Amino acid sequence: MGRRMNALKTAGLVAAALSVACPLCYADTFVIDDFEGESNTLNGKSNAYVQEPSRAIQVRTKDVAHAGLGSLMLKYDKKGKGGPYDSGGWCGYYTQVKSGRNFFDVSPYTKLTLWVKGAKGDENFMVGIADRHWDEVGDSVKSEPVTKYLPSGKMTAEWQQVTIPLSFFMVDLKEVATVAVCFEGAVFPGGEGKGTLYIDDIAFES
Amino acid sequence: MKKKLPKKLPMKNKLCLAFLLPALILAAALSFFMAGAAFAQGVPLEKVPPLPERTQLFAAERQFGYRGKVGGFALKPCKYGVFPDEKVWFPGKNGELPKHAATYFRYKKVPGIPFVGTYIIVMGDLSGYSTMTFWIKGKKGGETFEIGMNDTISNKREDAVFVGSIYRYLPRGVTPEWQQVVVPLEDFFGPDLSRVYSLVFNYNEEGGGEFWVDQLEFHNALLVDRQAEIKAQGYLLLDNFDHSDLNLLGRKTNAFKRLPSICIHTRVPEAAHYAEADGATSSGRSHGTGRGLKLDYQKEAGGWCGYYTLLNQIDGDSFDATGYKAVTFMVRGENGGESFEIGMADKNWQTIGDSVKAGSIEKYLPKGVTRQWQEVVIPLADFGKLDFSQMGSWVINFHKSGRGAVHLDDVILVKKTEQEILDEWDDE
Repeated sequence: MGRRMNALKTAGLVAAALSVACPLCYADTFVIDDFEGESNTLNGKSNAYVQEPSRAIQVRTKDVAHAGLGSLMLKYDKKGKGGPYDSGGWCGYYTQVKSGRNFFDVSPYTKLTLWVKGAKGDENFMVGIADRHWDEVGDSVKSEPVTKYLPSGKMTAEWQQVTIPLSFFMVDLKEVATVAVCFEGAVFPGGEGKGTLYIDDIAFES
Repeated sequence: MKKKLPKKLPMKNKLCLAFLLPALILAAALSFFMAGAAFAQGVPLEKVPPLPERTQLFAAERQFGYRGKVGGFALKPCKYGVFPDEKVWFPGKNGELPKHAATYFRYKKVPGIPFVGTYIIVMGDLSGYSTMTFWIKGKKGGETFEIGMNDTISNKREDAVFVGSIYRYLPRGVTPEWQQVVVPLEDFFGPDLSRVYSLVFNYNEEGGGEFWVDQLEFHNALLVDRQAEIKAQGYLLLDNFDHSDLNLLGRKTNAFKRLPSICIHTRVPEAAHYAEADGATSSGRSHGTGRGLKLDYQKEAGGWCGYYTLLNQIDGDSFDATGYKAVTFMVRGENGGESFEIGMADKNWQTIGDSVKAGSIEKYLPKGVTRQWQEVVIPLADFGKLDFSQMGSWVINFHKSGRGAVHLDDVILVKKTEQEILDEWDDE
């Protein structure tokens, strides 16, 4: 298993190197994270982010997976009041695709995909992408609520694939820094929500 | 295969196919080549892009500096030697590399102020790379130096940015066998990577040594997975004080004081905790070799004094400690009875130049500091409402009037287990 994970990571790193080295030399799918190892494919940092009173934790779990042996479990508790501007703070999860100071060129790709399932089926979030500019200000451009991109139109307790056109984000696709799962108040009734969801196989696809 | 991934690019007509097919073949060929050989080896120094146009260089830098040139600097009686050695070279992992010359380095560092170092001139744009690698072997093993980098500005003021000792990248140190050193270029926070003048080896530890370096290369991808390393061992060794004044995050450490109180810090062998002789830590962790931290203090009624180790990059990223649950370290006093507080500062506390104290050492050592080594374990929760996602420093603060000396070694951040993370969530 270790050899297979290493091979996957090596393949990812090769793809990353190729995307920098040669515009023609990219695979049609680049898996950012399959949550089999401790870091994403690019060895970038990833973690939950929180601003109190909201909170979130992330665990790379081996108990649930869309495919393979693991997935990301996110527990979130987005508050509606308190914190900065009395907006309840914020919470979510980020994974860096920039390598060191080098931003990741996703211009060969047209969509961001990921697999998701909720523990109950009423969970929701937005996907964020930060380019160099948004990375510098510590924020990201958000998608529509993720339920809009689900085949069933709603979150369920079964795995579904989310497909978001990259053109929606209006960021510099040649210099992407992070991809985020953002529990924005706007996706919850009353601006607050609490739940658990699982994510697997975040990828850029052409 | 784990995933069902699309295997082909979308092609809507034959014209598109005719155009893309050669490109795909080229891509596949390049992929194979890159994955097999070139990628594994990275880009050698000679293929790194040149300095950007209009990079300001002194006349001497232009006249005498060229890519690949090796040299050194020393204040007598320190000495160095550096030259290509055709008798020694890295043969490749499988002996596939032909005979060539590695670069031979020799140094002699005496105690005190005299300094010695060597350099390899890069004169190139490294901003497109994420990782630097090279292979190294020592004549005896144990050769040591700090790794630094000069951009074309810092080179003019002879002020390289150092990222720590070679032991930060080779925890078992240099040995008589070839080992690959893998350095993320993001560790060099400060130098303009688009205008790198030289790579510097600073021989900061007394003694002498001989070693060879070969296959200096630069890679687009970040080849270090630090999270996996920390997860595997269950903790982050913040500092063992063995080889560098920088901690093992590559961050600055120093004593602080406001007169009339004073504190002097030194890294000395007498302050080292040797696990076998002095007793292992309760967790079985042991990093006590070489040196430890000695803090000589004189706390008066006025002023303050102590020691800090930075967790954040100065003017850069803060340290995310949300994945850790405790800080531990070894301590003993020269006489016993010494007292101090342990503090931590997040980004906000750092801005005002202070820290939140978990409490006095007696809170964690019921018998207080003694002449015997004891392990101190402090839950991070004891530091109160800090923003652990943006941490700045760990602090020793001598708060009681008096004078004395304490020895510290092996400062460690202990990682939370996944179960502990989940339990924490359920508790709230």
